[in-house]
Amino acid sequence: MVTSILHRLSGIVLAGGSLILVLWLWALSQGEKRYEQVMGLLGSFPGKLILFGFTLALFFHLLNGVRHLVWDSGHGYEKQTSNQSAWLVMILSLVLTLALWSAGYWVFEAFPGQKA
Amino acid sequence: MAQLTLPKNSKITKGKHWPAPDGSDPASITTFRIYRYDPDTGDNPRWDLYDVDTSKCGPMTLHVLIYIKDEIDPTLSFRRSCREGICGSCAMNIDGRNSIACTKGLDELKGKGRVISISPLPHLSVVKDLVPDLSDFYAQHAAMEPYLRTTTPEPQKEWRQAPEDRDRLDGLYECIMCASCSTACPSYWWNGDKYLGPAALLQAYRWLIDSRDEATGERLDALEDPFRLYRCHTIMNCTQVCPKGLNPAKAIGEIKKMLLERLV
Amino acid sequence: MARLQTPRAKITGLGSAGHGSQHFLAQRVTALVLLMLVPFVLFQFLAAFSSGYESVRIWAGSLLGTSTLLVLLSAMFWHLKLGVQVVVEDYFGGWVRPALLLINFFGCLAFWLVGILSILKIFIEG
Repeated sequence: MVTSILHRLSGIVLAGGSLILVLWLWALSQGEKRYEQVMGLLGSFPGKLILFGFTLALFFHLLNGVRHLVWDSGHGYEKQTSNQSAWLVMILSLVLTLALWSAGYWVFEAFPGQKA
Repeated sequence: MAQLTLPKNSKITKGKHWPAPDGSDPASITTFRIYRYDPDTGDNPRWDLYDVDTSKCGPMTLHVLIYIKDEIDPTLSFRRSCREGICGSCAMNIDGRNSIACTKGLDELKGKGRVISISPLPHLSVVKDLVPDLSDFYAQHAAMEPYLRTTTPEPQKEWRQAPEDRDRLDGLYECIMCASCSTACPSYWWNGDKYLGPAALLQAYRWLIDSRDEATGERLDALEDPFRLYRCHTIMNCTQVCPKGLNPAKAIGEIKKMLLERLV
Repeated sequence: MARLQTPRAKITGLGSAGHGSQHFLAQRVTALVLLMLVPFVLFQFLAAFSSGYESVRIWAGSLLGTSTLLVLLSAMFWHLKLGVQVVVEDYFGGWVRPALLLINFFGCLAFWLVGILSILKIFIEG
């Protein structure tokens, strides 16, 4: 039941995230000034915190979505299997989120101010 | 529709405490917190506390309830019949989980010295104490037309079925209709008037895949509905609680697969 | 007032709606599209955040970038509309339900359009 609630919660969170994506695309279409404004907002500390939350919600929803697709194909319904896949999804979504942000920092140097 | 707070007359108040008789061994005393409600009195429901010497009664939760009714408080109402997990009468919420009291061992209720709560199946109207009103639940089962539907004239001897086809009914026909699964399902709580619930849908599937049945298409038509079937979001509570170890979630998933097979 | 209705009459209600599987299928198909696109797009975004406005515009304006974004946005808002619809149907009844369903539909349509037009603008301007 916990993963079901989290799936719904993360879905609602991602609905908000999709609006940010649209905002970003709109800014990109409006020219450099608007784009830098929006990027400044997203790159600020609260902006980064919100983006981190969205990343976590995205990975959880994505992975738990895979779990749902496996169920819909008729597999993984056993009590023990579904409990194990629940833990797997929760742990993996956390790991992937941290991995993505680490890659963003160390590999892509995507944080504001990292590249002069 | 979701209803997250109880109506005023359903708020549970503090009830009586029934202590164990003097001289009983404190090591074998377990306190049971039991939901009490009698609509005839007009009083709100209450939690009564019973200190039970579990060495004096059998090993199952039902034994405790019978002990309480016989020895402590005869006004306690609950349903029970077979006392061996085959009639489904004594389904209730034991220690936060739906189950049938007759097969729920006291040793399964972990944590010595903890208060064990027993309440009726969630989100149903209560007739008295631990007895819920199952009229809608039974109507949902009846609406699944749980019998063979055929148009071919009745054969002289019997409707024949291959052993492999009979095997497919295993894990489905064993349902005892205790309602533990349906009343553990949030979708059933919020939309129990339209969503059929896991128990009825498990039965629907049992007849959908019966090789002898000739009304499969009509049965599927009746389920093709955003609420009747598709309120199932694979929350898995049904499978988690089923006291017979059946898997309603999987049966519902198979119905969805049948509908898709018909669609694409 | 309690209605004098048999449980069977209450459960049968207005009968079966005759649909629901299409919704279920669309939710899964859009999920599959998103499952394939999101990892790719996440990678692209990381690269985008590390480079400046110009290179992001070049990627978004390329044939690959534009088509990826168009498909992503369409699948995303379709999936979103279907998902929020289920949540609304679960928790709300009476007149609130159709009201919220309409807001959901038109909201998704509006934001989808803004996104699509922005992508096309970038593509046309090059």
